[in-house]
Amino acid sequence: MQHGNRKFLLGNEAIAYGILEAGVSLVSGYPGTPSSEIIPFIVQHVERYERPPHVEWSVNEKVALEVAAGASYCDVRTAVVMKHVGLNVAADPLMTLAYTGVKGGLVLVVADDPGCFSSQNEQDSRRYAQFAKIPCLDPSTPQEAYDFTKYAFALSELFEIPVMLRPTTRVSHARASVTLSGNYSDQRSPHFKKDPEQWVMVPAHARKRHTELNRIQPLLRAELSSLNNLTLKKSRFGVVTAGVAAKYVEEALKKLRLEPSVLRVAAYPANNDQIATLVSNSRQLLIVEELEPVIEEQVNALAGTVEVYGKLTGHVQREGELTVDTVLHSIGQVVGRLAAADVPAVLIAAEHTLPPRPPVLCVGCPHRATFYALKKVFTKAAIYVGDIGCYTLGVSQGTIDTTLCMGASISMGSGFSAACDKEIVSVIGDSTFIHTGVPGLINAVYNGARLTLVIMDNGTTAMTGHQPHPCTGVNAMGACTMPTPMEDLIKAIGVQGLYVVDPCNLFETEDALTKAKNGDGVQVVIARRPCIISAKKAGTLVKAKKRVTAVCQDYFASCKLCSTLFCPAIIYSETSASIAEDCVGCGVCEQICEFDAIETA
Amino acid sequence: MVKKTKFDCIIVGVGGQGSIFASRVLGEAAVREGYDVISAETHGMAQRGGTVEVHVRLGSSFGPLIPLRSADALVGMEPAEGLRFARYLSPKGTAIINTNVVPATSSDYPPVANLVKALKDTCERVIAYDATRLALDAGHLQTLNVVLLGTLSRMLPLSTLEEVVAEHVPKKALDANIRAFKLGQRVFDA
Repeated sequence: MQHGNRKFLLGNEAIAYGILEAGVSLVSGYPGTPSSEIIPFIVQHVERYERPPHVEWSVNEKVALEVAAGASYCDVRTAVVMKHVGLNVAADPLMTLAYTGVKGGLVLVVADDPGCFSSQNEQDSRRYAQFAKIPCLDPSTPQEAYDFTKYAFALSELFEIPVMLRPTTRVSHARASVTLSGNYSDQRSPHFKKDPEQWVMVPAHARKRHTELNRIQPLLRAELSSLNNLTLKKSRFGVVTAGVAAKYVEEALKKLRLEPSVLRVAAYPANNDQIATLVSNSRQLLIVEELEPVIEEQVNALAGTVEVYGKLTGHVQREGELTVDTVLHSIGQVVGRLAAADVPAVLIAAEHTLPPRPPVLCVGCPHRATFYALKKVFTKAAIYVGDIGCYTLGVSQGTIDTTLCMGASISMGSGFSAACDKEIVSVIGDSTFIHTGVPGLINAVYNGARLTLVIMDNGTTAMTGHQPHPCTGVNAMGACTMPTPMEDLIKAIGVQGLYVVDPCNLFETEDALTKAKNGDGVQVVIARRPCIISAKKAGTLVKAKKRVTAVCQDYFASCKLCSTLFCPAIIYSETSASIAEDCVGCGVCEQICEFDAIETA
Repeated sequence: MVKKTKFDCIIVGVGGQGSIFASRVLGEAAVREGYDVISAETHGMAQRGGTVEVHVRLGSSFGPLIPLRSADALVGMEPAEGLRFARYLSPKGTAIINTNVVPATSSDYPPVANLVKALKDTCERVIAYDATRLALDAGHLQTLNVVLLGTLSRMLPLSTLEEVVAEHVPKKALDANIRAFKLGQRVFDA
């Protein structure tokens, strides 16, 4: 054990070390939980390098993958980082990049989120790897995430194909002892060899490249089999598992003192020979994998008369994340034993008395003020088409009616406006607007939509940990850049009205929203104020804590207007409201109180 | 040689109370002393005010999540959060619970005595005390996590916890944190 190189690392930090040690020349990506920390960790450690790689937050995942593809065609190593739903955005370049192949190792890190801890769905990126016919590595621990990352670059170069590394939340956000090799590869020298038959995907070339992609599939399966682990035992019961679930299986089997044969799949496409060996040794097989039954389907095709249990037979939980307890339950069902731990009834009863703590907008969050003004001007009658970001929490204020995917607020708003006569309000954040909102806005203007777009511009990508974006004038490395001028961009698109307001000035905001409501076509209101967390970190927040005066008690029973703000700093008793210590003095409650019962403390 | 002693611990609280910091100190010390260690951080969507749940597994080569009814210790920075995750605690385990409440917005909070009682029905040992007051005694509210870590340290096979705390807190808060750690230790010894 090399003590000096053994560190306590977040899975994402282990991946970052793997990327850096591989000698990458370029890293790109777009933030998304649970992948967001990888690029900041790379930036944090990058200064140790004589020739630091180019690291960027790209505008979106499609752009990120294309940036990386360009660099990889020049024979240098690249990594692209995103969350599972980001890969939907990058799917277009991915599918054809598999045909052209790559030169310098290209590793696509895609973090999946079983259980939707911070996502709008729980799709399985292994399906994309299968779809694109590229290899996918599936680590079960931060140590493996590091080891697999380094291997992925070599694999990518060996087969000249993009390689997916697919951590899940419990790998990316696990923190564990990780042994780093400390061996850094040199960066490769850039060289682009013109070769239209490989790089120009006109139909004649694409057909040939497709043949080539299919030709290497069995070779990939053979190469990847060494990452998998097949342990054959006398038992006629076998388990096939993958990812972090493999660890749950290990623990569950130990608890139950069972020793079945186990095939742990670590790389896809999974190896048919290994599966066939296990099948021939077994009478019953249980397939334990998170998300989709990817391995299960492959095993079913090879199983013959062997009984196969898994998600498709209802023996493994179909949705959500697995745990040791769900795995105990699955194994127990197959071997006919009661295996899962019981939570005592008294404890379950006590849990029901606990107050929930749902996520709320921060104290002083400017979005709260925007939502209040929106509801006042547009009322409940309007349709509020939402997007992806902190502002999704506006659902509790009744000002988010839909959330689908990045950028959908504007394009869906166009659809709503064509389909019905209601007032349409599209709500989007600044980073999301730049990500995929811009084409929707061009489309809305071009096709004559009738909507008010509210861009909640807090100057950062807040939800995922405050990453910069083109309008902030700062890049991933922290260097100053020319900020994308948001107003000029919107004006150039040809919207009929554009207003810029400070959302915490309710009078100004309501006035602009009213004008937008009465205006024609596409109207845009930019509600601009820094995210309260950014302001606190930057030290630019001037606190002016508020307090509630005695006047409140006189009207309290029939008023409570301030409760419609859903501000966690306003505390209610039987007779009065009061303001907690964490108030930052945004002053919105003071502006809405009809009895002047709130003042600066 | 990687050491073999196993210890599973759940650290929970409300955002901003320092549950994640406490778990990192534990992990750093464990790595320093030659243990395998793995932890899982779950902190949902809220930057502040939401529930934070960390599983820390000392001497474990398994996954980061602790199975139900099997943790050796539960550290609750807040009583309701402590009880919320008590299902992970072994019937033979110890609950270390701060009795000082962080109110939940727009919802009734059950009496703390009921929460402590429910914990006592669940596990062998409950150490419930006002750790917030001890943190203030130590010099700063933000040393709450270090007070509780001090109490937990008496159950752990680790000797470098205090040293790791000292290395990871801001210099100006060093004395308060060391005081907090020792106050927490004294609670266990009492």
